[in-house]
Order: sequence, then structure tokens, then C-alpha cells
Amino acid sequence: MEKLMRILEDCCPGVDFTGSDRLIDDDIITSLNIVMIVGEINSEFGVSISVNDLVPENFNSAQAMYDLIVRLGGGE
Amino acid sequence: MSIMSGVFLLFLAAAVAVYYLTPKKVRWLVLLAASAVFYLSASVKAGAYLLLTIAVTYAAARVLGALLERERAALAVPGAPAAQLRRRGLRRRRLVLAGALVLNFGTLAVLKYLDSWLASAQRLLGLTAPRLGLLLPLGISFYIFQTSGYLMDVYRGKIKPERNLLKYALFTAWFPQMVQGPINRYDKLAPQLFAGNDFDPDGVKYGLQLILWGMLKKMLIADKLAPGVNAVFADPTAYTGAITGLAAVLYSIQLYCDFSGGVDLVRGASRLFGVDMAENFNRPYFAVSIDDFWRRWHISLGEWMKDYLFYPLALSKPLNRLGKRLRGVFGRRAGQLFVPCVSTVLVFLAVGLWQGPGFGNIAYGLWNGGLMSLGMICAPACARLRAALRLRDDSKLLRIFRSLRTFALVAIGRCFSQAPTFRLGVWMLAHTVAAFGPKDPALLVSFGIGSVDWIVALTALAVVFAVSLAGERGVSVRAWLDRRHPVLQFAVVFLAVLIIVAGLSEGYVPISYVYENI
Repeated sequence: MEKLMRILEDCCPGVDFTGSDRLIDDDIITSLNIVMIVGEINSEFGVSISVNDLVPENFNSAQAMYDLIVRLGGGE
Repeated sequence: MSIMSGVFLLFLAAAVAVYYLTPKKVRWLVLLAASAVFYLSASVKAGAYLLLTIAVTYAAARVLGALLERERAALAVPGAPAAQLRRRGLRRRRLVLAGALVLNFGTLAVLKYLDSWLASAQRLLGLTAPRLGLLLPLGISFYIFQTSGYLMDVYRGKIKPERNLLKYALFTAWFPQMVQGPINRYDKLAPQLFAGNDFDPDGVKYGLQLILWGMLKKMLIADKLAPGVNAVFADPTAYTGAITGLAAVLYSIQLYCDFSGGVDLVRGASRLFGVDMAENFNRPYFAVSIDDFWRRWHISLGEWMKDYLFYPLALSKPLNRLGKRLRGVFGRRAGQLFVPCVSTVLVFLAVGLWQGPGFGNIAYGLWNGGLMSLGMICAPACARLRAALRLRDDSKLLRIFRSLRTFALVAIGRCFSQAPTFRLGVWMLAHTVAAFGPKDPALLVSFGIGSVDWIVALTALAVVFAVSLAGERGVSVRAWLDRRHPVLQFAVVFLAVLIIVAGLSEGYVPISYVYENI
């Protein structure tokens, strides 16, 4: 999770990823941010996030993103 | 049949009455019949293209669905070579999808651009030949995008293909969306169309309010400003810089009231049947950046581009491989930004081409994509600058400045595509700055629009602005009106109806919607 938080803070400086579970729904992060985050996650965790995974449920919070990484075989 | 006509309103009233008088089970057939009448009354010939699209995409989706089911069944067999089966299945599905999309977008490209390409070729070769004068069927851009989105959803296994051809035809040809969208999604629209909705007085009331609101925006603002704006854009060299600048600003207002007014009207019409269509606008001129603007303007196209073009591009292997290489050469930040920036520019290039042929449209796309990428690149520097200047993000002044800046940038981009040529669009902008002083004050006052029309347009614009401002502050004027005394509610609606009826009876001839022939 620490590695993911570092990626998120790096891609979207100033966004509070711990306090929101509506990051997409409330337009806190946009599709441009998502693409940057996905590029970093794929490269750092060795997973392959596909277009089908790019739905709000998977990106509305840091925890949801982490769950996605675990589902795809990355993380702990 | 223009949707801004008494004939359409009568047709709509009759369709609504028949819909609710018909047994629930077959109500969707009423919607299909109404859609067929509406479309064929515009052009029987255009109906052939619509039928072709329906047939091709229906068949392709059924094949895709069958391939996906076969693949899943094969994978369920114990000990099956999963990777090989998935690869083979994906290859077959890709082939079917690519074939259908080429046919779909190929038809659109031929009808939209062939004349323009032939004209360019003739100019280059010094030949003279008559134009083909190909017919651009009503709403073709919108139903091509909608059916292509449907195909991609079936391909991804997100939805199951519709088995009933007539129901699929209704999803494609649902008449309120045929003039200028919005681009609806199958999983959201189809269940509502097929459900046999109950009569909902509140929904019908909301639908009527939307229709009136849309008609007022079109009739009192867009169509009042159009003659002056069109005259300046047709020949900007005949005007002073003040006039060309004013035309650029007014064009953005006219376009918004025309497009959003039209979409309000058709969303209202759809609501009368209990069918909610996709939202297309969210007070776009209050946007604080180009990125924000494109999340508020033509939302259904933006969402379509995001899901079916931007994400696949941004996740594509070649682009990501290139991004990684650049990271090694230019550093981590450059590598991070490369993929989203290039994907954004390519998507906006597609948006520009969607608007029409000509370099002006390409420039319009590049301008918007370039600005959005620049915003991404400069975001950290801008944040540092705001911190240095001690500007708070929630500062009202900063917000007003950002909205005005975004409006100006959007208006500049539109000059490229709206002027007769790209070069003239650039000249128009330069002329606005270099020769701003109005040499002929009378011209500035009249602008080709009569003084009564000015008063009407500006008053209506003030109302639209006030309603939008309230919405931006979280206050719904419609909900506020709902809580008022019925007499006041009736008076407001009566006034709106009176204005529209007076306009129609005075021989008001609506100007075609800007996005009607796109």
C-alpha cells in the first residue's frame, strides 16, 4: 500500500487520497490522472490493467486501486 | 419535421397519448413506430443508411456475442489450453469488430468527406468536375457513434447483444436522439425503452419544462444572434476588430444555446415517455480549465471518446513502450506525461475530424488537445505559482479569472473551425487585437441584429446566466419553482408558452441546429 500511496502522491500532488472514497465520482481525479496512475502501477507492480478495469469502482479510493492490484496478482 | 415546429409538438403529443393508451407489453412498438415516422418524414433516402447501420451492427453484435459464449464454454472445459483459447477468441472477435467499425465509420467518412477530398484533388490536378452532392443523413454521426459504442461494449463482454432486431432498431433510431444526440449507451437507454413505462406526472412535468427551456434558449438567444454572427464569420475582412472579437464571443454563446437548447428539448421529449437520455451539458462556461470544460460540454461525446478511444490508446502497448523509452532519455516526469498527452492530442484530433473536413477543424482539435496537455505539463508549476502569490484555490476572484480565461481559449479555438478557412480564422483573431478600435460605431451597435432582437436575446441570456449561476451554487431553480405557489408556477409556464406560441405564430422560421448536419 505504501508503494501505491507514493505513486498516487507523485502523479496527483495535493490530492488527499486517504480521505475520499469518491475520487472519480467527485471529479477529484480525472481520466488524465487515471492514465498516469495506471502507467505507473503497471510498471511498478508488474500487473496489466486493461480497459475493462477502468471503471469508477476500481479508482474511487486508494483502497479500491490496491484491491484491483491484488486481484491482478500484484501487491502483497 | 423540424423539432422547433408546431407540427413536431403535435406529433409528440399524439405519440405520448398513444404510448400511454397502449398495453404496457407493446409500448416499445409505439416508440419504434413513432421513430420510423419521425425519421422517414425527414428523408426516406436517409432511412436506407439507417437501416444499413442497424443491420450491420445488429449482425456483428450477434456474431461477437456468439464468439464470446463459445470462448467461455471452451474455457470451462477442465484442462483446456486457456491462453491459446483466449488468444484465438480475441483474434476472431477483433476481426469481426474491426470489420463492423470500418463499415460503420467508413460510411460516415465517405458521406462526410468524399466531396471535400474530391474537390481538393481536383484543385491539385487542375480539373473541374461536378460535386457528388452526397446526402448526409439526419443524425448519422450520432447513431454511428452510438452503435459503435454498443459493438465495443459487446466485444468487451460488458453487455449481451440484443436478440430482437426490432428492439435493437428502436435503440438505434429512438427519435429524440436522432437530431443531434446525445450519444446514449445501450445498458442505460435500452431497458427504459423496452420497459413499458407508467405515466409519471412529475416526469411529464419535468419533460415539458425541459422542452420549454430548450425552445426558449434556441428561439430567443441562438436564433436571434445567428444572423449577425454568421454574417461576420462569412466575411470577417469586412469588419473592424471589435466586431470580429464580438462575433467570436457571441458565437460561443449562440452555439451553446443552440446545441444545449436542442438537447434540452429532445431530452424533455424523451422524458414524456419516461425515458431519461444521457446528460450532455453541465454549465460548460463555468469551467475553470479546458479539461473541466470538456467534462461539461457535449458530455456524451466526451464519455464516448474517453471509453472507446482515449483509454484504449493510453493503455496500448506501443505507446507505453515509447513512454518507457522516453523516460530513460528525458527523465521520469516526461515519461509519465507522454502517454496521456499524446493520447489526448489524438483524441481531440478525432473530435476535430468529427466536426468536419478542412484544416480549421483539425486545428480546432489540436488547439484543445494541445491546451489540455499543456495544462497537465504546467500543473505543478501553476500550483507553485499560486502558492507563491498566496492565492487560495477557493478564491472567488481566481475562479472568475479561470472561467473567463477558459471561455476565451474555447472561443479562440472555435474561430479556427468556424471561419471560412483556417487562415481567415487566425487573421480574424489577429485583427481583433491589432485593429480593435471600432471605426464605425453604428455597425458595432447594430451588428446586423435589430435593437428589439438585441433586447430579447440579452434579457433571455441574463435569465439563462442567472439559472446557471444558481445551479453552479447548488440551487436548482426547477426545484425552487416546484415549491412555490401553484399560481406562480402556472404564471411562469404560461409566460414561456405565450412567448413560444407568439414566436411560432409570427412566422418564426427556426435556423437549422448547428450540430444537425454533422
